[in-house]
Amino acid sequence: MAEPLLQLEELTVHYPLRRGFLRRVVGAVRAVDGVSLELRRGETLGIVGETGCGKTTLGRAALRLVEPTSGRVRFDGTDLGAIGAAELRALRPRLQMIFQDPGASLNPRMTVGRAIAEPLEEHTGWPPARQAARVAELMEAVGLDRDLMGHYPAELSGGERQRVSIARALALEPALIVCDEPVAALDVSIRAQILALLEDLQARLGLSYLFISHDLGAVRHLADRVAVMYLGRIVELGPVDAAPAHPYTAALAASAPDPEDWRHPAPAEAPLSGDLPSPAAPPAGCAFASRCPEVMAACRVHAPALRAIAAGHRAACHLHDPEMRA
Amino acid sequence: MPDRGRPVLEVRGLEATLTGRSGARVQAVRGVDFAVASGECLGVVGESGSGKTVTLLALLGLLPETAHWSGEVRFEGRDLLALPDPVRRRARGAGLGVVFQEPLSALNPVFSIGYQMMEPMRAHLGLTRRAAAARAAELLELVGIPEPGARLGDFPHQFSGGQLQRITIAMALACDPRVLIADEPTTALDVTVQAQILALIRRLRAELGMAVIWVTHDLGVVATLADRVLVMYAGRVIEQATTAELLGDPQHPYTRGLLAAALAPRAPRPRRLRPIPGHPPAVAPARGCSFRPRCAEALAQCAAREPPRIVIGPRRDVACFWDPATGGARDG
Ligand SMILES: Nc1ncnc2c1ncn2[C@@H]1O[C@H](COP(=O)(O)OP(=O)(O)OP(=O)(O)O)[C@@H](O)[C@H]1O
Ligand SMILES: Nc1ncnc2c1ncn2[C@@H]1O[C@H](COP(=O)(O)OP(=O)(O)OP(=O)(O)O)[C@@H](O)[C@H]1O
Ligand SMILES: [Mg+2]
Ligand SMILES: [Mg+2]
Repeated sequence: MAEPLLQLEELTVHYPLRRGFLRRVVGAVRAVDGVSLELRRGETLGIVGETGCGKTTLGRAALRLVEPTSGRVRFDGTDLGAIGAAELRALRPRLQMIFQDPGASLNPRMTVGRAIAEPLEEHTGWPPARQAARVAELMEAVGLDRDLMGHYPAELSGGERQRVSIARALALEPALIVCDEPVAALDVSIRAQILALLEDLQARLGLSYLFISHDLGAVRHLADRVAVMYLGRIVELGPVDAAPAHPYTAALAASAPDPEDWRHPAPAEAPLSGDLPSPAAPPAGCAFASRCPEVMAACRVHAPALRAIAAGHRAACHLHDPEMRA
Repeated sequence: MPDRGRPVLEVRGLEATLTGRSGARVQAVRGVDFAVASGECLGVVGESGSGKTVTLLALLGLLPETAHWSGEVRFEGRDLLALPDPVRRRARGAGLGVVFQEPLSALNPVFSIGYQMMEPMRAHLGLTRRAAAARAAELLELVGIPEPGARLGDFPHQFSGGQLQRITIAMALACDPRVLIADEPTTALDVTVQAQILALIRRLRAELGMAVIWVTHDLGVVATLADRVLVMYAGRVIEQATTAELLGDPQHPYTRGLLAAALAPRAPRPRRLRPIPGHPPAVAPARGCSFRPRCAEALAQCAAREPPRIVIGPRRDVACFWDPATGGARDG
């Protein structure tokens, strides 16, 4: 089998937890806690999970935009943690990110044209005419009207800002794009336009995507495989059309509203109650035990490991461990 | 218990024109009519900029000073917009619970959550401090805030975004409203929390006979919550139907496009997305149907005049000349 494009091994990112007037470090937020996964060439891996479960941190660590506390990131055979700043800079054009909040990630004083040209200026050394031609081509590719070239971010709609951020990410023909909630804030029809655009670009350019979302519906449309995160860890990883194996995945799927739901009476209760436990003080045993509809005594004591339950399908749940069920 | 079926809130001929900072005038709402009955949930869908929020602000009498508006809003038989300001504010405060699109703007950072919840209850329901505190804690519990009693003294910054959004919903429910008006209250929430809020709203409707107007652009939310749906486009209602009719047999090409572009999270194999091409107009065209530039079904008469709302069933109408059953023009 060909070597994967991206390989995360036991990746861990802790943020210092500060308290009080002196902002003393009193502990750590375990934003990402021992995550291992692979992204194949031309593949889309969806990352889903609730707010605060560590999706953005994982995406940033995969591009070494945050420094991991421990663990390894290999991109196209290179250990990103073992190379110097110059080498990393040389790799940057191939590693791109579409940020969660395009409003905040775009410079408010830079026009659309300048914003898209910026990565070209920084990395290519192309003459201005060639850069301008590429900017025009990119705007065409993401469906941005040429008239918007001179507009500032505040003068664009949410969908247009998102397209600018996609055009910037595409400018240098990357191999990998981390897409962080690229459609969360958008309207149905603009969301469909952006998802169709990402699909189309992948088919034409062979890109690989790490597609982060809290919406299983959006992920199902784009991803080949899905990793489900809960409190910094992967609790399930498998093909997008496999039946959910972890009760949390099942609850996520059942919670997503579907236009077909009018055919059935609405449930009286939500699939899941309560909130995520604090990532600064994760509970003993399984982190999902406090909300799990199928919790067993063992779950509150032993944390389940991520284990294979079928070919290409792993889950971290005692329900799939015959010894624990007994 | 209020009797079901009688409209509790009725809006007729609502128009609103706003003036932007650059001086440009926007006809944001162009003749909107609808009614909602006790215990009924009306979903309002439509693309960004179609006038959903301005419709709500207009019916609440909350448009900016510079806005021009006209129309009639009957709440329990009284024309709200014709009432003198203080009377209208009292009627609104006691009868209509509102959750705005940006919940954070509804909370004041310098007052505790408990204080902000209790003030209106004391003013409108005449509750004592103690009774108001007990009720505030009860409401926080209802929307799923753990240890509600202990958290009344906390300030907004001590809650997560999802919790704050649930708190604003609790505040809207504080005075036992006859109508809950909610503008995209769950768009920024996790699907799991959204499912909790939707279950809560369904329960309150059943238990209290509360009417609900729920603005969203998510047809999935409409499917689980609404009895009837209004679809808005460029400031007009372009289709109105029961939820089953609208989602099972959409008539307007825009509604059909919205459904084709919607995600189906539990379909066995997701189908290919078919986005509606183009964008909604910033300003409605002077003549003809405002959806015509994006419409694959446009007929000759669509360029000549704006289609009126054509009644096609009991409480069902559509503002479109094209008939999906025949692929040609509608009769009549
Ligand atoms: N710079 C930081 N310093 C301290 N804690 C942080 C920092 N960034 C994130 N966190 C914490 O780390 C955890 C994971 O955050 P992250 O942003 O990765 O979550 P997420 O899954 O992307 O959430 P969302 O869906 O809301 O975007 C959260 O508890 C968050 O509060
Ligand atoms: N204060 C204002 N001044 C001028 N124009 C405004 C103002 N508020 C809204 N508009 C315009 O009125 C139209 C309708 O806006 P509205 O906020 O009602 O849309 P919406 O359907 O709620 O959209 P969204 O789904 O994005 O919330 C838009 O064209 C908008 O730009
Ligand atoms: Mg994030
Ligand atoms: Mg709005």
